[in-house]
Amino acid sequence: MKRTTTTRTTAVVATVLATGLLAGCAEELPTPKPEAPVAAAVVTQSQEREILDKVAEVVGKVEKSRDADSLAARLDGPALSIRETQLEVADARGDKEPLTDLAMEMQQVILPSDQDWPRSSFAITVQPKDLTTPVLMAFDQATARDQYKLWGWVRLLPGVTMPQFAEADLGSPAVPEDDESLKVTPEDAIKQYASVLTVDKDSKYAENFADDDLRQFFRDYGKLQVDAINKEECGGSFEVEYEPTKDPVKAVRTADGGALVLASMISQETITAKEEGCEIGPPTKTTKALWGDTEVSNVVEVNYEDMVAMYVPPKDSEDEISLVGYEHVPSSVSNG
Amino acid sequence: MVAVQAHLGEGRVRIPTEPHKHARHWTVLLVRSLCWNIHLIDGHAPNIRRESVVQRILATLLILAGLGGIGYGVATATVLRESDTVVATATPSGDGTMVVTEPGVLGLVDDQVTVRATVPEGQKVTLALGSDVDVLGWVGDDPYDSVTGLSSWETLSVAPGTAAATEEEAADGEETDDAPAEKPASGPDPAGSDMWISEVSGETTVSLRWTEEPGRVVLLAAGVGKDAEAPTLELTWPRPVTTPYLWPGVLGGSFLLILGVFIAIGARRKKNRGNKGRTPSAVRTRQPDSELPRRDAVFEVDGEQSSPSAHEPGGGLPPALGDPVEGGTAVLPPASPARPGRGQAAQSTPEPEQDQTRSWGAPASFGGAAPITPPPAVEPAPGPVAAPAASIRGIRRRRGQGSGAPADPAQPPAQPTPFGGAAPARAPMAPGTPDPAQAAPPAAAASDKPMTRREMRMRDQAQRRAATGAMPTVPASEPEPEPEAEQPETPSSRAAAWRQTWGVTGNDGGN
Repeated sequence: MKRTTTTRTTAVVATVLATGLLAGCAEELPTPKPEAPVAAAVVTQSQEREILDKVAEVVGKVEKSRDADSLAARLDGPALSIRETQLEVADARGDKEPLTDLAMEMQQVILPSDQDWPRSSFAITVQPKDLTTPVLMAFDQATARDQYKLWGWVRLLPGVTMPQFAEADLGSPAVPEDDESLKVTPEDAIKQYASVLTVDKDSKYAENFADDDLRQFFRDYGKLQVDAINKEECGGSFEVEYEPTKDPVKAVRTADGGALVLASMISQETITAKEEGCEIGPPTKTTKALWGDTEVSNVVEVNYEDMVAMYVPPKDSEDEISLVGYEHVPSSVSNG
Repeated sequence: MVAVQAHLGEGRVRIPTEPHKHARHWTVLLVRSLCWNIHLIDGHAPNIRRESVVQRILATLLILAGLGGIGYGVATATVLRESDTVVATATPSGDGTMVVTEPGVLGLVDDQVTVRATVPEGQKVTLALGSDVDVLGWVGDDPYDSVTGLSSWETLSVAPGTAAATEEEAADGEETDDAPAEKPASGPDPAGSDMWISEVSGETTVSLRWTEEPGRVVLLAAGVGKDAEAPTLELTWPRPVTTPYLWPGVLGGSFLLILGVFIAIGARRKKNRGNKGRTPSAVRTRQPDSELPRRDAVFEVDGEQSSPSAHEPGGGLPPALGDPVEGGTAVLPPASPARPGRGQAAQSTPEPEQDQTRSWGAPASFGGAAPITPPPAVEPAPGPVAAPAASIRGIRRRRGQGSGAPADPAQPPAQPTPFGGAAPARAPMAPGTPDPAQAAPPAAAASDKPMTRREMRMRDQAQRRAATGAMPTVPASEPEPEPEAEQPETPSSRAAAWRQTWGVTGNDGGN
């Protein structure tokens, strides 16, 4: 009995202990179970918010310090160039009027879904305090080790209807410059639009584009200048010449398969008094500020830096390419 | 335990009486072999002491085992409890200055992870969390180590990372300006990128906490600056620790503990009873040794049986024992003589064995089967031997629901077996016939009282067990009367039967 009992007890205890120990060791090592990659924006809205804050901080600081060199940290491409110009003009004028309000309070963000670089995101500000129209901004991350930078912006046309985009969380794919799914490739769209802006209805591409505020502006503005000169019987003329820059064209897919295209251009308007003896000076406050001590002649040439944003419909669409917004910043003036 | 004891008891009895039949059951053989040792040990010493000693030992072992079980159960929840955290370390292979975890690694054990990165003293290290695409894009073409998972609970598996195609393209496209310049000599610093969800930089050691969120978030750890080295990573997760052995250990241990305590109490009672009975025992000692030991054994057994049975809330049988308790007390006095008898009863070695077995049998009573033993009670005439045979039958019945058992008992017990299904009334009848004249009268008297109760129980049991045929209860009733008789020889045999009947039957069976 003793033996039996002892043996049994021992066996029981040993079994319990062994089971316990084994069970302790038997727990399997977990293996990584990553979530499957999902189609989503590569920039989250919270990240975008931080990016916007960082850019806005730089823009705000520079606006006060006028230390244009600091802009490079968060501005790039056309935006950097245009902002520097605006700062110069503002300095020349002595006020802030030339400075586009770049407060980064957004009513909509359009985030990238492409994992590759460069990545671009877009954002539309709320109505600025000065009651100018909202601004459409484009941000760019050239490489993974670069920061997001403000690449360009346009002021939206009054009353313009923005195309629909995919939900911000899903992200919107970028559209390459030569994308064929559009009525016109983004690259060509800019070239054609430059033509249209230059010669208006005489452009062979005119039929591709809906009339817009910018074209109307030049008609009105040109007429104004010409009328003013003609009033003096000086034989005035007004010309505008647009030309795309070498900067890449940014385009992002819209919900309907079209694209929102942003591109920078440079333009030059030339006001001429053809009659002998007539002299004309810079027409606007800004151009006057830029004019400085330049001798007056019968010609005024004003150089602009431009950004345009267009909606390019998909290939099979009946719609025309339409301007969404533009920025038109005088950068220099000359007497021809 | 109880069952085991019962078997052991049987084994002893069988061996002398009918080895062949018993041998059929391999289990019986096993039991025998086990019991033999006990026999040898027990045989020499007086029954009561042996019993109590063995019981004490058993009780002690059970209590110890119970305490051990409880202790182990508690220990698994305390001292032996696994660490609440998992800490795993990744040692970089030495190639490159960056370490990147694969998606899912950060949430490997728990959603909450604390990352600690260490670089040689004085160097700068940066930890950054970002999506896998962003991180690998940032790493670009630079060599790095990839943490792929756990290779053990303490170490992370590290493999040289491979740049994805997309990142290579991206790198080719635009990184040519900045990246290449940094790559060779010094470790690039990921700090400050817009892409990071969270980041931290510092010297020598930095740590970062992260609660897993949806998405494929990975960690980028980079040694920064000149002569930078890839940092050593340490990931710490809290881990929910379960204590699966706590309650089983405590409950199982408690059971053993309680069982042990019961046995211990039983042993004490024996002692006490034995002491009380000593006076009568002296009387008995005068009587023949052989008989005395038997009686003693029986009485003791009864006493034990009765007490345990009383304690046991178990099967219907125990209630029957209620009567026996009285009988048990009555019986006790005779038991006392047994002790003195022991010393004298060297000759009667087999008997003491029986007694012991019987005493052991008391626990056996727990098993419902005990009643079966009554058939042996019929045999008591032959003496202790007959009783064991009956017990064996009972055992067989229990196990096999003993079709074979009836054959043995066929003489008197034959009835009980059939009775299994039948009414208890017959049972009393049967015992009367087989039992010696002495036994018969007491049996009748005893039967009257118990009969009603027994009948009740019997019927219930019969209804329940009908199929099993473990009718022993009936025969048990017969033996009971015998103890009352208190005659020298017969009482012992009857006592055995009585025990059996009482549910001590198990013990009897043991005999």
